[in-house]
Amino acid sequence: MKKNDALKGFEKWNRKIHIFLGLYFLLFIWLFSISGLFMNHPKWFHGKIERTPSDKTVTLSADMDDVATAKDLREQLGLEGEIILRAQRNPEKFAFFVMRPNQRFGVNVDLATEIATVNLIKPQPVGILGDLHTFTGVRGIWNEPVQERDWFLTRIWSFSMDALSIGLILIVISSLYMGLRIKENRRWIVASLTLGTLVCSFFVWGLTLMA
Amino acid sequence: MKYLAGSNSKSGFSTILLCVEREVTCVLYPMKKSSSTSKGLYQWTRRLHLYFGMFICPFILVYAVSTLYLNHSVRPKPVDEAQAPVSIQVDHDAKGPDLVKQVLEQLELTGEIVGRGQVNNNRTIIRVARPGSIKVVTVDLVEQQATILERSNGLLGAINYLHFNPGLHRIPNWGITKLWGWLADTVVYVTLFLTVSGIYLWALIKSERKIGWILLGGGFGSFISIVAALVYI
Repeated sequence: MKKNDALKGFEKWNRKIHIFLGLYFLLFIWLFSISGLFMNHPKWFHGKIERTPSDKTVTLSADMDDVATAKDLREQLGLEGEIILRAQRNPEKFAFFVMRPNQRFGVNVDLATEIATVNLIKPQPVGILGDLHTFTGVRGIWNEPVQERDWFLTRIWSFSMDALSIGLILIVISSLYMGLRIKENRRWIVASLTLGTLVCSFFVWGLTLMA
Repeated sequence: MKYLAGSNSKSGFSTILLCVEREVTCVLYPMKKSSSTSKGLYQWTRRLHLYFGMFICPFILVYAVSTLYLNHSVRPKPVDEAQAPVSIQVDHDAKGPDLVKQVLEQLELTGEIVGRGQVNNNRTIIRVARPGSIKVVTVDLVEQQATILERSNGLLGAINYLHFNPGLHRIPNWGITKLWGWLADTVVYVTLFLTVSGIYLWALIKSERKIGWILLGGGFGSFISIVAALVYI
């Protein structure tokens, strides 16, 4: 009897979790789905990228490492966003990017004159979707020697991505449990799951095994 | 003029029979949805939600798990395996896509090709990628030899690869990548359908309505405030 009650309680909460997580993450799911669709079709991203350069005088501190210098310059220039700091190529300049989903600033400081050239780059509106989709702060493609999230909003957005991923995994687990407990039309449920699993497995494992 | 009301059980709508003198016109007016229509819609929505949901479960897992890895920049540790050089016959003046085609046909390699067959110091490097593995082919045009280095990235590499492809800045050149691209699009459309059908199914459950509204509002609030801060602060 107790076991039966526990099972009923579990099923009730399993269903609630499925519904509640889906409702809470609704807009996040829409954003990542639609931006993913756009990223799969690069031709949909069109439009002109706007660039506006400006010069500002800054003060460079001698005893700072590159990351601290970039943070200091970001503050001096009044910029907000995630710092992208790659290895410096020109010994006479100090260059980095400050990025946020709707704009990025290319900062290039002349070490001799202490003049910073700030290039404001605005992507086309649809490009913001792509930026939101990939805005983790630690992308491999950026080739940063030191990978860290240095803007508090990057940390919040990155946490949201983790939460959404875990939420989706829980939604999937709860739906598998509910789906496989349903007796009505079971063969269709099993057929759908089997088809999805086979197709997905073909891409995940099959293609390498067949090579 | 007389009005006679009757019902049409098949369509589920109430009907009004309108009689004007000798002419009799039968008009269907959607007076009120009968319970059978709602029931039919509910049942079909529920079934499709279930079947489509089951189908895309593995795909959602691939995207969700790879997101966790990508979000923390966890990269797979590749295992390299070098193969013995293979003799090939390619034209000495071949370059570009023609060179790539000649090499891959002789080596019987298929996959997503990275590299346009640029020749430097009589050598060209072609990468042939599949989910979880990549073959780096170095061709020596003078020696007429190809060396293949196979780099395996395992399951993590495979799901990361699938997450990225086709992706921005990449136009797929392998049929299988194009097929995955269509599947990825399908996953998006099905996901959108699941969210909308899910809302419909939730709206019919009275007991979960209040807490559901709170969570929906909370989700909207947190999403809008984070995105607005990312864009406007």
